[in-house]
Amino acid sequence: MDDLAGLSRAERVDLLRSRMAALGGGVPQPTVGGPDVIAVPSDLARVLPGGGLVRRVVTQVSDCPALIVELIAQVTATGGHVGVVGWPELSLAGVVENGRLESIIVVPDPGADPLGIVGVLVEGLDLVVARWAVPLELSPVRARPLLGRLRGGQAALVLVGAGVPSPHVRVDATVTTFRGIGRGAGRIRGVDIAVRVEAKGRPPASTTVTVGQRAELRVV
Amino acid sequence: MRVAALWFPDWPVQAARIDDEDLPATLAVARQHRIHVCSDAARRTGVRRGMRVRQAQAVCPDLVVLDEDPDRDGRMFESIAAGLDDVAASVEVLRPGLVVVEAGAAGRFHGSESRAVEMLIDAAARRGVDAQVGVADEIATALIAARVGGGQVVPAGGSRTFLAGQPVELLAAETSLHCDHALVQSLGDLGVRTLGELAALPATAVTTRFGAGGERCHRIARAAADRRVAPELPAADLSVAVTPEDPIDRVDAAAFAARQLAAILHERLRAAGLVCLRLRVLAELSDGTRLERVWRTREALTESATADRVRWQLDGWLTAGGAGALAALILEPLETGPPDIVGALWGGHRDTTRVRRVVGRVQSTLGVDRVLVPRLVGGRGVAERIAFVPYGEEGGVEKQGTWPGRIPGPLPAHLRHPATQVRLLSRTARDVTVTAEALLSDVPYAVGWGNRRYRVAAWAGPWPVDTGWWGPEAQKVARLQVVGQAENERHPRAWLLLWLGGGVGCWRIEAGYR
Repeated sequence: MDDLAGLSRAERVDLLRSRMAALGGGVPQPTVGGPDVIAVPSDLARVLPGGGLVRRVVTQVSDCPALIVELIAQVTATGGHVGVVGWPELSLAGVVENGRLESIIVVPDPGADPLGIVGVLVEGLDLVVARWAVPLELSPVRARPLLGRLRGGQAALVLVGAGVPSPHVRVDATVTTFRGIGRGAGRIRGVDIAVRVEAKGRPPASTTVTVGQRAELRVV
Repeated sequence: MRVAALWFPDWPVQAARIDDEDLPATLAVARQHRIHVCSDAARRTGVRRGMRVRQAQAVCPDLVVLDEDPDRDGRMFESIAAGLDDVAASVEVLRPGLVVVEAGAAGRFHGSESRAVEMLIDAAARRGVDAQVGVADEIATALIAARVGGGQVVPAGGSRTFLAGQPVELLAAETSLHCDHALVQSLGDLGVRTLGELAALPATAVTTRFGAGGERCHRIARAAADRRVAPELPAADLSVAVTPEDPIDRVDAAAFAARQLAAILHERLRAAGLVCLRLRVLAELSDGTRLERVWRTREALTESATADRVRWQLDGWLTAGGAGALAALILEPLETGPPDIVGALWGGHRDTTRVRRVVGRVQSTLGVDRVLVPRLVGGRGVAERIAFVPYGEEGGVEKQGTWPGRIPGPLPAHLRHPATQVRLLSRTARDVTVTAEALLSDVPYAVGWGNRRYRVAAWAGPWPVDTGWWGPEAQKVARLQVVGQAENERHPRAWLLLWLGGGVGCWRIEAGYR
């Protein structure tokens, strides 16, 4: 340990960490992108404010299950816990490949007070996806208790089919292209989702999120 | 390693006679109307194992036939096995009527092997109980030696010479050797009469012809090194139970009783230095019904958490229409382990306390069955791959497998399409169906349901699935990926269509790529 004396504090920490890693312990790197943002697929991170889903605020997403499944897979893969409220039609089979199913908590039928259930879940999970089959616009009075609990917890809240007054981020997503399928040939190998993001204090931005095989560049 | 096997011939008959000394000498135990075991006196009159009971009674009119009772066999054997424990430290009961003892250690302790074996026989001696002993280097050889000619001691290293002369049928005679009866018989049919002849065959040839069972027989015949004697280790019974004087008829009273019970349980676990990872809550009603459920926990359950689980379990039962009073409540830790401190030290253990706390609150609002966790169960379609189990509850066995022919990713994410039936049409407005050869009957041109119409831009499949025909969940379907373009929309849409065969003959949307 005497060889540490000549090093600076940062170098000492690095050296000791590498020794701990050699012992088999390893220092856990922060798995989610900092304290305030949850990492998302890289295509989407380019256009979202802060490069991910911001914690403790509402993100409003249009009804696009493919994008939501991608988000869930990404969040669970980095060790986050996800709650899905009121969306029995969402197929979680797509999460298996890239994410972890066991960190998902599903409440298919939240009963008479879905907002209350969402309000409880945001206090303990990392991402809560709540969906209303019938579009619902929350008045400021109804939204206030939920937003208060959201600020008290750690979670990012994604609302699908419901709106709050002035959400932090609004994401519009549509599936545009199916790749790899022909007339009786091939199969669907890639899906393109066109995403348009409107965030507070930023100009709107658009991008394409690809699930599965990406578009190939070809020499024409 | 030296092993002594102590065999009590026809143990069920001997056990019955210990239980009731007035039974006559001609005695048999029957299983499903056939003679399972008979006494020596009965055998001399012509009764054999496997005979029908009526036939045996015709052969020997004095025969007393008892029903099989594994409980009695085990109970009577318990006292004998306990007596053997005084002589040798390592005693393993293979089945009631057969024990193996580590003779090497016992021999060193008592001076010599023959002295130890003699003491074993003395310890097993009771009035009217027969026992034979066999000693050899391996467990299997010792079992065979005990059965041959009133018991034999096979000298160290002489197992192969001893086994060479023994008939192959001995393998099937002892159930603890786990040799298939049909396999042994076919060995005999092939002209392999003795274990020596079997051991002389090449091992690969025997395994190729007879599989794992054949390999096992061959290992026994060539006296291959076997496992060691594994005595039953004492395990502490940590379960706690309460039987209230008056049956509990209120859920809150039951939760209160559970809270006290949980406190006792945790005191016991703490004394043993363990934490409970799986807990079984068992409630017994006054009419004898038992409600049980297994809870998996990642941390030591607190008193209130245990009480909550009991309350949820009883609540669920009450809302399902249950009625009655609670006669007993049992908390049984199924799986315990040392506390997981190492993970916390190195930071590899994620803190999930907050998650559990909020899920517990939602469960107490909605009920346990409405907060679910997805599980991968496997399947070729999309919806059938995921099953849901209540949070915190142990699920069933997960079906593993590669599922060849499954729909590959990217998977559609939208299930339960509202349209019950869709039509796939050809250019001439005929319905496109899937033929018996799993081909489309025509080139699809349009797809539609209700007032929706899409022109088919691309399709892939059909991929047939014909499974479950052996059971009630027969599934004869075909799946087709279809990309459709509506007149007034900019972007195409895609679905995974499901063709229901088996006489129904219609298309349905299994899932949508949205």
